Amino acid sequence: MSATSTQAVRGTARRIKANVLRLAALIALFAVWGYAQGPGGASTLIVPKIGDVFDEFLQFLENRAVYDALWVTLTELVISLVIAALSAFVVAFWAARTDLRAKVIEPLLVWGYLVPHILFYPLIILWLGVGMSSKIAYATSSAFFPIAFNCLRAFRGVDPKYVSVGRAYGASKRQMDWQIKFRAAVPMAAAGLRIGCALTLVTVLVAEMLSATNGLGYLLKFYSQSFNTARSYAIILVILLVVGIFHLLISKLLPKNMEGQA
Amino acid sequence: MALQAKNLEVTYRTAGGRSVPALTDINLEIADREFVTIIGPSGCGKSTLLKCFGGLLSPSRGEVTVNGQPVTEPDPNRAAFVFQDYTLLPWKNVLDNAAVGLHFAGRSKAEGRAKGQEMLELVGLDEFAKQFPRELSGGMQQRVAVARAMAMDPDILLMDEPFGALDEQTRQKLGSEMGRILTETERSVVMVTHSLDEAVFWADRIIVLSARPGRIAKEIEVKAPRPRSLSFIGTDEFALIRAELFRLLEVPSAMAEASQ
Ligand SMILES: Nc1ncnc2c1ncn2[C@@H]1O[C@H](COP(=O)(O)OP(=O)(O)O)[C@@H](O)[C@H]1O
Ligand SMILES: [Mg+2]
Repeated sequence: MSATSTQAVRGTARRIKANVLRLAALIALFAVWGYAQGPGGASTLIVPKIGDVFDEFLQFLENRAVYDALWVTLTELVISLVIAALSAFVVAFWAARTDLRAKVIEPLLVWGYLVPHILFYPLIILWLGVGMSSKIAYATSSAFFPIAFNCLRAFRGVDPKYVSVGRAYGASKRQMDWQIKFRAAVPMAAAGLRIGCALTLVTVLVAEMLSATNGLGYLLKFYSQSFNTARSYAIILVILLVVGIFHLLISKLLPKNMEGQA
Repeated sequence: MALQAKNLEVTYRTAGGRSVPALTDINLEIADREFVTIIGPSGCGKSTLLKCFGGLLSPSRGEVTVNGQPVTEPDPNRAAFVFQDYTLLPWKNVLDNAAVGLHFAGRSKAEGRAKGQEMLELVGLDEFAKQFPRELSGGMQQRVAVARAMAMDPDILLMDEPFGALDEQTRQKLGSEMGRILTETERSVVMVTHSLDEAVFWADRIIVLSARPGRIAKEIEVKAPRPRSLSFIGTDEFALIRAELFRLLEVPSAMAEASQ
């Protein structure tokens, strides 16, 4: 009892220490930024004034274009992630059911994972145009493979001891599929989903920067090409907020890694 | 009689196509409420035999019957398994683990919970119902595994080295507790063990298997009435049988002679 409370106290102390250090790093960053701007004499084209960036950010709050771009990007993100995750799940589940299918499909998924999908982006633009659908197609194809690969490995790699328990305790085929095999595969499948999320974020933003008519990535490119550095920094701030919230949601929604289930 | 094995034979096929004879010529009857321990060298087919009893494995030849009914697939109401490495489901809490067989059988949640709780009380873990397996020690997890088996009200309890993964002290403590529980519930128990002491202490009858392919080298009856107190370990009967087991398991020629 006292051992655990000591541990808890130690854990809290460590967490506070880590947060203080993080804060210090952030302050140091702003100090360097401020120095470069003031005594350092860096051009505002490279390093804008902190205050300017903040002003631009506040102006965004009343800027319809930014809300539109945010909406476009979020839509692309969510749609591609949902399509990629669902299709990957179905493919993996289907492929995991026989040895032959798994043997054929697994290397395909690996190749699909390793190929840089950006090579096909110009073609996707050609087929689907510069609107949202090309972003969704590109992000979906990028995210599909790691998710499917992880799900397949997860479904194939279910520890046979859990299957034995299911059999010994009378699980029906359906119960075995969903309440034993699927459930045992969740942690690893979730890891695939995390990778998929990160990829979706990157691909959507890159695709918007390469060629698009709207979206946060598009705005960033637009502002930086018109030499509006402060506004570019501000839009980066918006994107970072989106990324942060997205990852926070993902880590909250996905089941935690379960210890003792390796 | 509860369980009968007739001319049982199991041959495994490896992935390379080789055939591995694991068990041969097993004829065995286990009576109602009898406590049978199975002991033998590692790899002699003890687990294989238990799996055949439980319907987890179909024998290559021969058959297993329970109350005259042939065993072709697992039925936890007939024979419930306790695995060596507990294998509780890590995503279910202790109570749901204990009730998992009832859940699979389609019983209501309330019924499962009530029975599970009752069984957890029996093994002294009712306070841990809401915890997850990873939060429990090995000995406690094994008690949950026993509760899970007992919740099925099985005719026969099949235990594959249930205390094998535990340290010696936990093992003894848990063993004496389980012995009380298993004796009180008046079921047939088949328990595989590699401990000579366990084999003698619990058993009405000890089955000694010879090395691969496993066959019954010797059956030894232990006459002392159960439940036994620890003082049984000091008796002549205990010492004699233990010495006999030791000779069979440690002296190769003795086992060979017995198997003839
Ligand atoms: N699935 C299997 N495929 C091939 N050989 C097996 C398989 N399972 C067990 N065996 C072999 O059968 C023999 C008996 O195994 P087992 O019943 O686990 O022995 P024990 O429980 O007595 O240690 C061992 O030699 C083992 O290598
Ligand atoms: Mg074994």
